[in-house]
Amino acid sequence: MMNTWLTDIIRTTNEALFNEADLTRIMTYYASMPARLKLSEELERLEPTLVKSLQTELSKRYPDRSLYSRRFIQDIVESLRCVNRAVLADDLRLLRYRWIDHVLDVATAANIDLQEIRDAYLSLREILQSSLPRSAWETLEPAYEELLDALTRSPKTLTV
Amino acid sequence: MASQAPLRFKGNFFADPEFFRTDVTKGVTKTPTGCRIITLPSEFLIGFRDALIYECGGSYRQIMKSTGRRWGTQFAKRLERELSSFYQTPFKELPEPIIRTCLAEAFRAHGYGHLSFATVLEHAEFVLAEVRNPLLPALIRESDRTSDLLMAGMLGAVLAHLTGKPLDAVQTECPSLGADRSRFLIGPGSVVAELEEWINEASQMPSHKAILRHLAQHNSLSNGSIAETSNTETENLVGAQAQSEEMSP
Amino acid sequence: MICKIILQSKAPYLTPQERAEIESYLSTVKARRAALEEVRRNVGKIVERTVARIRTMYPQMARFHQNGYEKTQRDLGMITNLTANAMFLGEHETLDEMFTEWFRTIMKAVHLTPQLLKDSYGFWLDEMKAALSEESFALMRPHAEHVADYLTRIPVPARDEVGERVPVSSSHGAESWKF
Repeated sequence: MMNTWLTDIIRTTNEALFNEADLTRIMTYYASMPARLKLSEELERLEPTLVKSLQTELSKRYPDRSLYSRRFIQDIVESLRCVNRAVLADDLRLLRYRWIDHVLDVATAANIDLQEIRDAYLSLREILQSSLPRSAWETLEPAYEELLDALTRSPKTLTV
Repeated sequence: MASQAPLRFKGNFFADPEFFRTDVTKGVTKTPTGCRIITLPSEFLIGFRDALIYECGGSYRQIMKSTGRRWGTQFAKRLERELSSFYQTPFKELPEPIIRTCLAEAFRAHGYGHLSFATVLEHAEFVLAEVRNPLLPALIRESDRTSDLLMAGMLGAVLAHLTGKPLDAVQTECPSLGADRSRFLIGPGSVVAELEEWINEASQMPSHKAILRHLAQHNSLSNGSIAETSNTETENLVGAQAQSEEMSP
Repeated sequence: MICKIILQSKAPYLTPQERAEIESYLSTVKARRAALEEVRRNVGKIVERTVARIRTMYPQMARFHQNGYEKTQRDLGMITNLTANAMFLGEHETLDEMFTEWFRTIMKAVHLTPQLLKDSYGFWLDEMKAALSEESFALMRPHAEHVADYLTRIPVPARDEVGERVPVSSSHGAESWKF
């Protein structure tokens, strides 16, 4: 299975001491951990309210879309857990392999318009932007944009 | 495998850096659900196959396929347990796109290759499975017949278990014969058995297209034409010139 | 530690305990970094002095193991580095997965005795304590004791290959170390 960048450093360093470049990267990551932990707390706090908020928003904007069942909306909200994990580990491959690739594969197999899934995430983005503290949103944003960006590509062109 | 259950997006169950965890003190590797996993190196697989050929002669092909079937049944049962728990829904009752995606993800995670599916015959119970980077053909570089018998047995058994139908699989294309991927037709066991007999009696391994034509001509469930449908393309392979080689996304 | 907690967490988001563990570790990271650098500066001295004491206590080992002392020097350097890395990461689970269990099988295979290993790692801890600052040694100690404890747990071989043990007057206080 895939390693995160930190696991890769640990394994390739092997029997030597961590070198300066690796230590600098690790320390930079550690310095960013408080912000990442804060985001995690905020997302956990918000999660119970997000399903209802997103449901309200999507039924207002896209009343005719059958994809937006409560179950689907629950899954989209819960996918934030996967986004969160990738942010905590500072490794977007966790998001790609665990979530993005899976969503693209299922959407392809089920003939679902990726734009409909993307629209759900766009609506969720608006909710998060207004609900999260600004610093928390800034921590989340790169991963969230990666997710949105991936939902605009066809599976054939997705690079991992 | 059709289902009316709602579509779920739960993520790739297998895409976890900690999915296979090894207790080095015990020399045991397990999945999160406690299933024990071992690594079978290529030397073992080749040795196993060679020993079967040496001991059993021509019937090694049947034995390998039978081994694949038994393996496939156990594999399907494990997947069913793990994914039913993950989805909080019996795995067999999930929508087909989810089942196919999960199977493909399971294959990738276990190193069996890149699996994809395409429907072969409309209104008939045949499915075409393709495996890119299949394991055994990568080890058995050249052969005059298809070499991925374990996988043929396995795929037939997996789908048989998931559908509850007596399905079987026959390999129609193989990297050991120069193809870029393994292809398997999966369908009713009795029809597959006839196909296999026809293939075995041929002096040379028939091409994938020839097998499809034979299937269309002799399959009483079809109207004599084949539409090979992938998720992105449709091809007519009988009564018309073949249009394209591309089968799957 | 952070890596392990994040990847092994079963919670949808981290549990309060997991968060607390991470925060507690983060509060020690600067000190751990400093300790790692201290080990980097002193590893040669630590290993050299340890091997000198092993050589004094086990003068015949080279008869059984060609270049035995040199290999011991190489191995102890490696062990010191790995232990320091584990100290920096705040966990030795990864170390055990990658190294300790494997290395213990090597010690068994070359017919070393538990006594020799206890003596050797006792010297190693002594020299580490002497070379490092109090703060750095305090950080290294739990991981070093873990490694020593792990590696000394081998059975007595039927036929050892270490030669005579010559107790020396300045023997380490092996009993003061937790292994």
